[in-house]
Amino acid sequence: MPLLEVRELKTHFPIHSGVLQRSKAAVKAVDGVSFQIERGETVGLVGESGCGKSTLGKTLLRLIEPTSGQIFFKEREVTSLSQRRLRPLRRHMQMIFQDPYSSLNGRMTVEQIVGEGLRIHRLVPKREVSQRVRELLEAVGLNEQYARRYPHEFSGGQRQRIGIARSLALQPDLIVADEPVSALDVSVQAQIINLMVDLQKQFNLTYLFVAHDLAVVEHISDRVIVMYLGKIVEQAAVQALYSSPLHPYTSALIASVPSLDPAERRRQVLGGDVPSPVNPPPGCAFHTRCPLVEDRCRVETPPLREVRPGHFAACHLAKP
Amino acid sequence: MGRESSKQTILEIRDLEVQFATEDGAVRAVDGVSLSIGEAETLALVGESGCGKSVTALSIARLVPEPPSRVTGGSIMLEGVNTLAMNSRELRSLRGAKVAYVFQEPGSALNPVFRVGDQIGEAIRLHRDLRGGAVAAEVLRLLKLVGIPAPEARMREYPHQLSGGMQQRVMIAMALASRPRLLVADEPTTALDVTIQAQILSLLLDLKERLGMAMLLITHNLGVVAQVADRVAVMYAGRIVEEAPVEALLRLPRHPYTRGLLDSIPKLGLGAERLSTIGGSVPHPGEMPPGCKFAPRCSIARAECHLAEPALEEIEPGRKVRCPFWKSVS
Repeated sequence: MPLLEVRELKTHFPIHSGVLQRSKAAVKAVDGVSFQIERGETVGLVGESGCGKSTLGKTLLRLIEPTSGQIFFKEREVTSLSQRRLRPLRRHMQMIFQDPYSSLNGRMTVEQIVGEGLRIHRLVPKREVSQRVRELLEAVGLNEQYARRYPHEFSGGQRQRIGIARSLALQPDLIVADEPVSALDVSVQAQIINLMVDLQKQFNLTYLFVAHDLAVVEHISDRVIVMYLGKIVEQAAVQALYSSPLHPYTSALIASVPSLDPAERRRQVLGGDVPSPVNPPPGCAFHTRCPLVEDRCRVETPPLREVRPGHFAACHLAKP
Repeated sequence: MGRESSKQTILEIRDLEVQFATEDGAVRAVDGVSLSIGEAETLALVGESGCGKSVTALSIARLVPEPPSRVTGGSIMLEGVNTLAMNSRELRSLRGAKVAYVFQEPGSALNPVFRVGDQIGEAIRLHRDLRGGAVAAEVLRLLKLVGIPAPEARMREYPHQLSGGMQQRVMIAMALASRPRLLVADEPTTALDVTIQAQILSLLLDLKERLGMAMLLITHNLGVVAQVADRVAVMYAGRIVEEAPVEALLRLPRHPYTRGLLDSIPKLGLGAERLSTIGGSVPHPGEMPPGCKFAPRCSIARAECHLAEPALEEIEPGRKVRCPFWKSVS
């Protein structure tokens, strides 16, 4: 049994309007998503803004309640658990956020921030909390003297290390990292990525790495899931996905990454914008931008199917 | 006043120094920056947060609030006229006319209560002699120029009705309204998705060729630099540490900081190879090291690097490096 299994997960946000605040339509942020994550794996989740990748990450931890579908984590079905039952399980699934400036409480010291979870879940006796915090700071490459300082005294990279130490404190199995390096400078970004790779080996962690930067995702992931308008459009082992993508959207995403070689200018560019998730186009949601579009793409929604062994794509035209 | 020598040169910044008053006293955000941009040329100014790239760019039209900032030295010649010596009336007629800016967050740079067509129209009326129907026609032309589909309908919409990419196109159209000599684009694609970023980059390339405008591109993304720039200047801790033509800089960086930056970027196709990093972090502006500002993080630093700051030296035509040991950078 995989560490995490998601079946037909939907997270819809109703749009209320009018005097009676009746729900008229819904933003289908996550719309029928199924996948698995094995223990020790890093799965990259990519897509553009509004594709539902962050909502999906938060729904897995039930920071956002799902509309329907099932989530199995450590063989327990998570969506039906009461908040009280959920709490002990939640310590095994932690999150690292994008913005290290807003995700740490500015009125708490580093020791309080990192130690809070230890105290809530009573993981170590009270008098040992401070010692454990220092060990965790060391694990993420921070001087133990920093324990008494406040978040504003740190740089962005150091704050992200504090956020990582906070999630490590609970000895999680799964860490959902939501754009953990996109707010950081390039040289710092590399430090944090390397740190996450090291910690994974050291603590046997499983990552769901949500990001929009395709090069970062390629670097860190074993498998990659590509989302477009609330649905998975492609899923494969990292090498297969990047070297022979099956979905035209994945190809376009990869081609859009600006090359570091000035000789490779003006690559083919995908036209148009991502349509509104309130009113996604019928048929294949990507058909409005797809360079290969055919008539049936406009009416028939392509299912996610295994086109090659272990390589899934939701495209009528994908061939083995 | 140097009118002949500036025939080719649109912008010439010399020894610019900008200080900020802080609680801990004055800190120098920009410390002796010199650069020039010729006609139809794109110079990229690259560096990490706090290196002084945006302050340098905003200083051209004196857009950095004074106080807390203060220009303490140098000159900025835009087509031969020193913008640092201008009074507020002269500055008003300079801004948006000779030099126009495009910023990172198009959503917050546009006025939410006016239709986008009217906002572009305002820029046209302010800077050109067009009136009435001619303004509307020019708005349409500009919207078409920046690749906005159905411009007749779009010009009647409000900013919130447009996507981030479309908003950025509107910003670019507005910047072009006055037919500026210099376009300053400060992180123009940073807030955009990767497919939209690619669209805006190819638009900028297109405009550069069609309009022959000089452009100063501010970015932290070396991929963006590779796509658009002709020349690159790399900034670190308020100084330029390297300047070179774009191909030369990206193929063979000469400053250890540039090398470190390039190496730390995850590149497509490299797989799970461990990323090389630059140890430590950028020095706080109030606590600058005495010698080379990069020395504390530099892998090839020697004892003398910590004592005296090296000069920016020309090592071959068009190529400058602030590191006497550039030959050891491989």
